[in-house]
Amino acid sequence: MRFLTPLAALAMTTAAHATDIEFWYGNTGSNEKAILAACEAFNASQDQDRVSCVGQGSYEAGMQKAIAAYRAGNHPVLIQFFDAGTLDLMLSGAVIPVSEVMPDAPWDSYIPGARAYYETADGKLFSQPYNSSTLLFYTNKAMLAEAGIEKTPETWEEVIAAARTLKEAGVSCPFATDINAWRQIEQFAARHGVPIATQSNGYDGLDAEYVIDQGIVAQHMNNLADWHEEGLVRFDAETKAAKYNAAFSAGECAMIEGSSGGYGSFAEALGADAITVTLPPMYQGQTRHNTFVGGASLWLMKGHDEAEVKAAQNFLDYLRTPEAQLEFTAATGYLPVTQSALDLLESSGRADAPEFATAGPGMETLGAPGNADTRGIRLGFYVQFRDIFAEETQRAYNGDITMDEALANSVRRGNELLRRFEATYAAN
Amino acid sequence: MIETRTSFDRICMGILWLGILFILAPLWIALMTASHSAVDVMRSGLAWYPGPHLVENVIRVFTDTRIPVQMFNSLVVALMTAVGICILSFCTAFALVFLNLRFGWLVFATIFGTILLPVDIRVVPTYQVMSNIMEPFAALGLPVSQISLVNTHIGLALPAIAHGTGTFMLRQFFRTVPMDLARAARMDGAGALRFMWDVLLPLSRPALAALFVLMFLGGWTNYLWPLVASSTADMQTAVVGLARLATDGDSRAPDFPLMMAAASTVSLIPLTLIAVLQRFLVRGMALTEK
Amino acid sequence: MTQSPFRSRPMALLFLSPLILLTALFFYWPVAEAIRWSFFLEQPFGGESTFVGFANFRRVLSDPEFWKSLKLTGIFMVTASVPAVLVPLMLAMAADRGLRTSRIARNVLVWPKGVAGASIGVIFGFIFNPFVGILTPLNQLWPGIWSPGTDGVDAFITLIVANLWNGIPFNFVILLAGLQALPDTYAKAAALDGAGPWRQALDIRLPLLAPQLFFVLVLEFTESIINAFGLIDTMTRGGPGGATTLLVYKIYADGFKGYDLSGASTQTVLLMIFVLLIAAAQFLLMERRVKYER
Repeated sequence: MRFLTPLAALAMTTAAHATDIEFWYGNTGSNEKAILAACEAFNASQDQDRVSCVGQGSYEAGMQKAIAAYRAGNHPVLIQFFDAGTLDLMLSGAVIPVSEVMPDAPWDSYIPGARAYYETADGKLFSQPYNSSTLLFYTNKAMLAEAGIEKTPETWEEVIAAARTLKEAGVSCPFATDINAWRQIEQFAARHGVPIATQSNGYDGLDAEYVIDQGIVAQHMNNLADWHEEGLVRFDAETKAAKYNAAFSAGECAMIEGSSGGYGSFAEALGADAITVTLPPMYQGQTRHNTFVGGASLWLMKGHDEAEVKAAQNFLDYLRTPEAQLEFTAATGYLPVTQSALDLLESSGRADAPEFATAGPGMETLGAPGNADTRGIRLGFYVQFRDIFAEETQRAYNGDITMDEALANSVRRGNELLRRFEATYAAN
Repeated sequence: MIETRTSFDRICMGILWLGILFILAPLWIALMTASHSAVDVMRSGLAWYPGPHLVENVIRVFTDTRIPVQMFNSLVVALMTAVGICILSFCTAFALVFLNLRFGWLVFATIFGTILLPVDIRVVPTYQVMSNIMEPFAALGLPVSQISLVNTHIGLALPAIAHGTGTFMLRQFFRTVPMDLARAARMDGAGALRFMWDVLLPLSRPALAALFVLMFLGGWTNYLWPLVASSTADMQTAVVGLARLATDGDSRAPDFPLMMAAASTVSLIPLTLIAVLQRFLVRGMALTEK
Repeated sequence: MTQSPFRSRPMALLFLSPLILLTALFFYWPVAEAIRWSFFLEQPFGGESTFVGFANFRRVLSDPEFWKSLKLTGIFMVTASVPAVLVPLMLAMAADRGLRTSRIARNVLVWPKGVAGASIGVIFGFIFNPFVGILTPLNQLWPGIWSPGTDGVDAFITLIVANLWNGIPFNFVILLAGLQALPDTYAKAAALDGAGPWRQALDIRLPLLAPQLFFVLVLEFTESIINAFGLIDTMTRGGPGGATTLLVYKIYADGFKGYDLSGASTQTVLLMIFVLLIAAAQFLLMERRVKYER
């Protein structure tokens, strides 16, 4: 019976000298296997603490259950949360910043692009980056070569020129993507060094407002709509495989912008030699900034005794070791995010191995120079905004409204969410 | 007139066959697609005729997915729901009809209210309550500890059990039982309990069977509540697991034969139940109307 | 009805209390909580909550998105319920003829009762797939004519067909039972008057069936709202472009994906009021109708 678990855990802590803690995570599939392997390795490495790792099925379900558990007072000490929930957690009063609990840990070793996302404006780090990914650009070499394209495109201008060539050569799906805000505006705005909302994407205050209806972001969204109209760009539902990344795996689409975490299955489906993986495209004449780190990080929850917090710290220390990071990277395709892990990869001579193929370009784009607007996203009800953005732009691609209308609608509806979020936390 | 009758009958027959075809075609396509390989289906579309891969695909459902353990969960939850409803609504309806309560109508109205607003409509607050069922007692100032029933079998079944349809159906049925039976039992010196056990229960067997089948099917086919109230794959019901199978493709092309094999497997138990217990099901549905 | 000879308050208490306790805990308490939260701005992790009076309601009621999804809910209720009653009606009238086929039909037509809405959603999602599904030939003739992934109307149609499939058993059984309970005398009298089977069916039996017809239609109204969730979640996910975001789906998304407890609770309260209003309207109409009929 599941509901006995807290009781049983309690009985065990008092009986044994070891400290037992629970860790909740949301991943499934091969990523889940890698997490469980890390738990086991930690438990085997010492006999002072035992961590039991409990899968919650998805990031959303994990967050939902954590909220309910926290309200009921039976939450675990360590939980993995996804990037979009960062602000909710920071303001929740339910978590303790890791840099406060562990002031001596080598936080400076984290590359800035990975750390800034989980850090407040005054430098307080709330959570430890864990499974980290970012946006990369993939091409199918054979399909490009067949159309006579020898050089991997690097700018949007080159990508679209290549897409036209591919289309003329009879490729039905030259470039595929989806309507997710993460890909379309977050990563795009970051690497072009512009914000999606004022107050540096909310880092400097809850009174931020969306600005995606102007500047290069709006221009790019309009371009996407035009390219879609021209048949150069396809979205999930317009591919036979029903998903842009599956369509790439199946050899249906020639180019995609996708998460670094997808490399493993692309290489498995098409062969590591048959694909290229490079930095995501920029517009000509623009300076490249860092992309955001995606994925999830690890949070310490309030309401636990010292022994449990100490055990959680030990587990975090373990996961931070370069060896554990590389192990995890090799099994999942997520990126190593500390300088020491990168150094170890360099010195081990495995940097060119296929399981680390994304580490090079991933580090390069995460490590590119940043500015105040490329630290991360710190906006309230952000998960809902992503849905709004997808819904509105979908209507634009269908031709129901213009892209400018879609962006204006997204801004209006997004700002309403931000104002309500502000009011919800006004008492703090 | 003879002629119009046969033409009318012919049209009726045509309508019935169309209806049967409409019901069977999706199930047939699912089963046939489940017998082909994923590559074939992606290349040549859905299948109308059997292929050689059925066994292989069904085996994959059992080895590559969590559907087997999820079917066990569905079975447990559906049985808990059906048994719980049968027992509770039998007791409740008995008390309402045979125990002469002064505020019986109030109790009935209280329970009837649940029929109007099913859990699907109030899923957000129900989830919050289920994650801390002792909160009302704590609010009353009782010293209780927190218990969460989220992600447990009992938590999956409870909102369906706390529902008035069964009570409503049995109450309607009890009211058709002649009160003379109760009086005769009384005259023979039997108490209320005795009457309930020896007279009413045997009489109610068909009605209870009908209720059981209906509620079992309901427990098996529920979706929204199990979707939110179970988070781990090992606690999800089969229908939720099936839906996740269809959406969790990640970066692989959709494996339609696997999905269709899973859909067929998941529907096998309830469909068998319907085929065998048809009579009770039909009677159960007809009872809801009274 | 005559009085029962039994009377035992302790026993009644014993028998009634379990279900009453359960309904109090898992029905009335959640409903009360939803109402309470709809007057607060509630932080997800339960920190401060601010009483805001009717501000949540004012906001939701002035939000075009809410009205859009309420409108979609209404459209779905009507467009999905009407075929889900008419088709079983035709089937029931055909099966009522007592032909050999009707025995098979009466068995097969209740099968969908055992198939969850979400399961048939997965199956119909595949059958209506624009690239490998049953309508693919249409797309080969006229590219893009069938595209539920990008066209809201197409997506809506898939939901209506799947809802019809799921709704046949109950409506068919009730309507057939109603037809078979009709007295023979009318038919005999009509036959003596020389009315053919068409006339008999349409002019005599159909009007007599009105109470049942009305009953299934009003039940189908609420049923379609609830059944829609499993179909939407497996077939359209509320899309494309929000074209199938009915209120039940919006509440789920706001509450369980957006962690917006106050917004989701406010909409829950409004949906409950909406459903109760429909139920009240049904009840009033039904009362009048039944009195008029019998």
